[in-house]
Amino acid sequence: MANYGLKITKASKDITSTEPRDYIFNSAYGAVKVYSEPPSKAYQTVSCTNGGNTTVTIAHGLPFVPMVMWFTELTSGSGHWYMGGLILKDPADTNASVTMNGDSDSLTYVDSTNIKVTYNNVSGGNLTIKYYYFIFADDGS
Amino acid sequence: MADWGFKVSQEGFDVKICDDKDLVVSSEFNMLKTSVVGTKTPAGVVAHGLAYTPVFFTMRPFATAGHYGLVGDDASYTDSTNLTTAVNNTKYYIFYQEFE
Repeated sequence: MANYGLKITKASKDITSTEPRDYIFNSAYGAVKVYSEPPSKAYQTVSCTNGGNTTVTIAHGLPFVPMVMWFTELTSGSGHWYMGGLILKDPADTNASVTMNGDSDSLTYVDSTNIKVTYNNVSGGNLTIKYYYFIFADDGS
Repeated sequence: MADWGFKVSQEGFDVKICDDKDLVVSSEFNMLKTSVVGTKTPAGVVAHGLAYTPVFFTMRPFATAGHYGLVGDDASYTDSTNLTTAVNNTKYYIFYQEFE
């Protein structure tokens, strides 16, 4: 690598260190970049009708399949947020909630155009569910 | 912390007074630094070469071409020697960061 860039060490660490963990920032190393979050960085909501699936679709606008971190408050109003689509819910989180199926090829996935996340509601009533996401400008290549 | 360093705010925010969450980068906060990026084919072990168990992201492909799972929605795991993927062609990021 050419001898230029920017690096900032953690307190008490020397700027000549060759240990990456000693740096807060070092332009010699890549960093994942958050490309997009929900509008106004506010959680979004989706109305999930009882007795079936509801799919959230977000066009990400990137020319590749991006990494996506997704969070959902499965039980409305619980304050308990879960990451991803393969969720082991807290056994104490017993109120009416939606479920997800993150290993289904057609229900929850990312492709080069969209993010699709599907919630299933068999709770016995309609639910309004909160979600939040980070779309990264990184594709694993 | 001593009064030195650098920070960059997001567009529309005054770097001198904005909340930390409205910064793009600040030398006050650690960042995940990428050690290695790749696609593991076939599924199995990636020797990361680090002296600790690193933080990682993985993204697994589905059977439908071009469909991938959300970060963390697969059975990949890490230890002090390897990242082990469970699905062919899983994309991965390994960071210079241990669980502290």
